Amino acid sequence: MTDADRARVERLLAEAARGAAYPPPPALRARVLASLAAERARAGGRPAVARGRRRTVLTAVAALVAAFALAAVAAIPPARTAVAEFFGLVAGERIERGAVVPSNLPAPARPDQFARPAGLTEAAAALGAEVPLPADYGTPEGIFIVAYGGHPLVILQYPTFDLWETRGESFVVVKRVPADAILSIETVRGRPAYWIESRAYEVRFFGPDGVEVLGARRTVDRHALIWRGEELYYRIETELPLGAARDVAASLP
Amino acid sequence: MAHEDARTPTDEELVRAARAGDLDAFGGIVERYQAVAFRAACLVTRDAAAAEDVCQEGFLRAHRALHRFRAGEPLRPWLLRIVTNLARNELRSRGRRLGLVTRLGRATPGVASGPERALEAAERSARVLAVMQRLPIADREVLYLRHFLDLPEAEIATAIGKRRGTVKSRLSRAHARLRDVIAAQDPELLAEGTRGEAADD
Repeated sequence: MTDADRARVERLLAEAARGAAYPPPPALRARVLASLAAERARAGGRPAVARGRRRTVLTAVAALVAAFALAAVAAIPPARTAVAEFFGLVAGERIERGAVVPSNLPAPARPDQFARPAGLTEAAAALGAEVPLPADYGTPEGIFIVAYGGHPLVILQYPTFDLWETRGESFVVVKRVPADAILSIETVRGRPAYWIESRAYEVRFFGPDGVEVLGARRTVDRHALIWRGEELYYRIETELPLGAARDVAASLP
Repeated sequence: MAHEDARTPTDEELVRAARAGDLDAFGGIVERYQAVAFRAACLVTRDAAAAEDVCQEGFLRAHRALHRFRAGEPLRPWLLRIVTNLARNELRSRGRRLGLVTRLGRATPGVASGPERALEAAERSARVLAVMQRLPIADREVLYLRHFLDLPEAEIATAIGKRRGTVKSRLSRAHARLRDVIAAQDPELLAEGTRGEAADD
């Protein structure tokens, strides 16, 4: 091929490249992260990149753990009668859609109606660790402790949100949300999270024995961002949009 | 409110964080490279829906293979290698659909100076893309990477898993084959390319 021929071919290619109009690229981030979060949950919470050659063994172990967890949750009465939409990504969290009608739910309760006030020292003792406080939001207006079946939960009350913190994975929290609730899988600090956007929904708490904890059922009329950190389980209940809730989460130490 | 660090993290920082299990960091990689990965997959598969699937699977595979990525190497060609391999497999397994050819050829080239010339150029683009389908996939791949995605030879080498010298010879061979195919299938194209050259001079 002569230099002139090569130049012509390259010219035609350059022109074709300039004229190429591609379909708009898909927004892949959320889909890829949801798949990775699901993979991670199936593998017992370990990141895929760290599994390497032990993948086969760990996958088998994770399958056993998942089977055990599913069996345990299946023993809970509501789980037998309703299809869980979101289950498995955030350990101990189960969300059922269409299981409630907001107008039939009792009035929502605020922490000062069902939990007792406490100081930071007592809250730290309940958590077994220093209480993580979101930076840039000042001192909480109220600190509360509630024990469900002997399991302590700390609630930090701020003007625009409540932040729940607790330790342990032996409990299951079931959220029963109306059919029109918006549910999405998010990532918070690199970990899978659930976002619930709904007028009102019901929260039930089940102990390690699979029995619902009496007195723990309540109505929530705010959105919620829920995730499990390295040591603690977090829930932000707020009327703020998802982005603002993520800001709160991002400001935790 | 929390204040985020305004500095954009480098690829290396994102890879390091993603390796440590930070999904948001990997999300940053996806956002940064999804457009070029999608274009590459579109060019190879010639099917937007297939390209979308290929890209998603490509990023998932890249995440699983992050521990094999060598620090300091450019990330873009490494990702493109995964995506184009998958796209090639997709093309082989499903056969090709040419619907995208028309769409690829419709845009108006930015250098065109008038409506008539723009239309001619768009038509020529579509014809070039159509003729390229007669080349072996390995030839098309290097031409897409070089001319459509503007990758330098070093990055093409990583993307196709060959040495830089091989890229040079493969590009040269692909140009020659394309010239031969054009001469056989649409010889007027070469003449038009010459006329365009004269018009620009």
